[in-house]
Amino acid sequence: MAVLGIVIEQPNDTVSHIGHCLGQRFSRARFARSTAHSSLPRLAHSGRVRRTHLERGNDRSLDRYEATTEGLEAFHTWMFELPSAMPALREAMYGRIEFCRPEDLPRLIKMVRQEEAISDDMYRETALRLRRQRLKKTDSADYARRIREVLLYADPMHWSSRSERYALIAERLEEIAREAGLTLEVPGG
Amino acid sequence: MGEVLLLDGVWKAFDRGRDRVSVLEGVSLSVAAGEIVAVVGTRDQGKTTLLRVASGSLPADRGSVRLCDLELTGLSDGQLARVLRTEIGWAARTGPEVRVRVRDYVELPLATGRWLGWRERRLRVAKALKQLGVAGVAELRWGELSDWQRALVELAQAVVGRPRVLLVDDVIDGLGLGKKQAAMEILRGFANDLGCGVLMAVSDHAAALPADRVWQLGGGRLKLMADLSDPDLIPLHKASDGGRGWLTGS
Repeated sequence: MAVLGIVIEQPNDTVSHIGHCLGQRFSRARFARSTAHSSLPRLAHSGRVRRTHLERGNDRSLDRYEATTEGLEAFHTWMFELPSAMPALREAMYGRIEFCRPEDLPRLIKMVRQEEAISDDMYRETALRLRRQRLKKTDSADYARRIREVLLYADPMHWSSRSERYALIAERLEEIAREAGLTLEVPGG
Repeated sequence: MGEVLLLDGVWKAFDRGRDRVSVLEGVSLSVAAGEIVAVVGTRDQGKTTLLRVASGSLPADRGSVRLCDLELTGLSDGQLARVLRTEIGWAARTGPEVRVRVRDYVELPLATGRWLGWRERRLRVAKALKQLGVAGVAELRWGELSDWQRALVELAQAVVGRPRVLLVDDVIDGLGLGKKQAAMEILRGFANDLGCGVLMAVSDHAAALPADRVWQLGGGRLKLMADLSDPDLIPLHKASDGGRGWLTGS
């Protein structure tokens, strides 16, 4: 849907540039460089976009696309669709905890602590990014920047809560391991 | 800038029935003049205990608490009371315990044990309330104020004595993001213009974001979440409408 949204915003742009915009606008999602290249032919096949320019040769990165009426409708439906169901939580760590055997606990605890440390680093990075952005003069007319700032606020919140969650999981697992008489590895060791 | 507050290896525990509950376990942190330091923690993690120990009003079991060059842990009650009146501003959500007008509440730190004429006290109170934009509530009582007005009155009361250290306990919590930002701009103004160090306890990270350093308190221990006092960063007040001459202007 992100690719379709960019095509709607920037019709007849090259595949290569759409891929570039995807990376820039949705850096948190870490889309692969090839996402636009692989998604656009699929979207064209499903009738949501149409190719407006076919570049000669095998390099498809200079092809151009625009959204079809069907694509516009699909995008608007997605954009304003009210959430109706509980979102699925499919985090790998939840699965690992579910399948964890007693002898796996020390290694799992180490992994959880690493996840916590990564979240801490991400919190630091996103908080600094937010702060730098906040220090810039905000022009109330600069709609795009103000909208982006909303997400900048959300990022540190996401990582701090993730860090707290993993700290809690680690503490509980450590408690279980201790009660089971297991020797825990030194954090970071 | 020099440190105005330094906690070094502070331990604190309380008796709870037969149990001894440890709240702070070797906590160390510092606050420099002009700096805002935030401590984030959920309820019952010991944030208020940490602030009370930092103010000297609650003695630590072990460790050192220094206000500038003064070791608070060794002071007599009289000396400590003087430090609390003159050097430390305290803002909490509790408000006055008796039914007083806002202007009398804000005046309290000036009225107790310090020689200041009646007229001077009233002038300072009026100025503090005006600079925080709540001059209009001076004659009201606590129960008649909105949450935001209470937060502003608390802050006015805490800085009216021009403290070197400002301790802010949960004042910003529960406010909307816009109000949190506004409150942080005010704290930034205090830190900059009064040159005081601000140590604030909050229960969510949104309130802590504009701080220079963010600590997480959990299980009695502090974890440094972010040090945002990057020398390349422009002070927040220069980029905003802050720096309004907090209480120092004539």
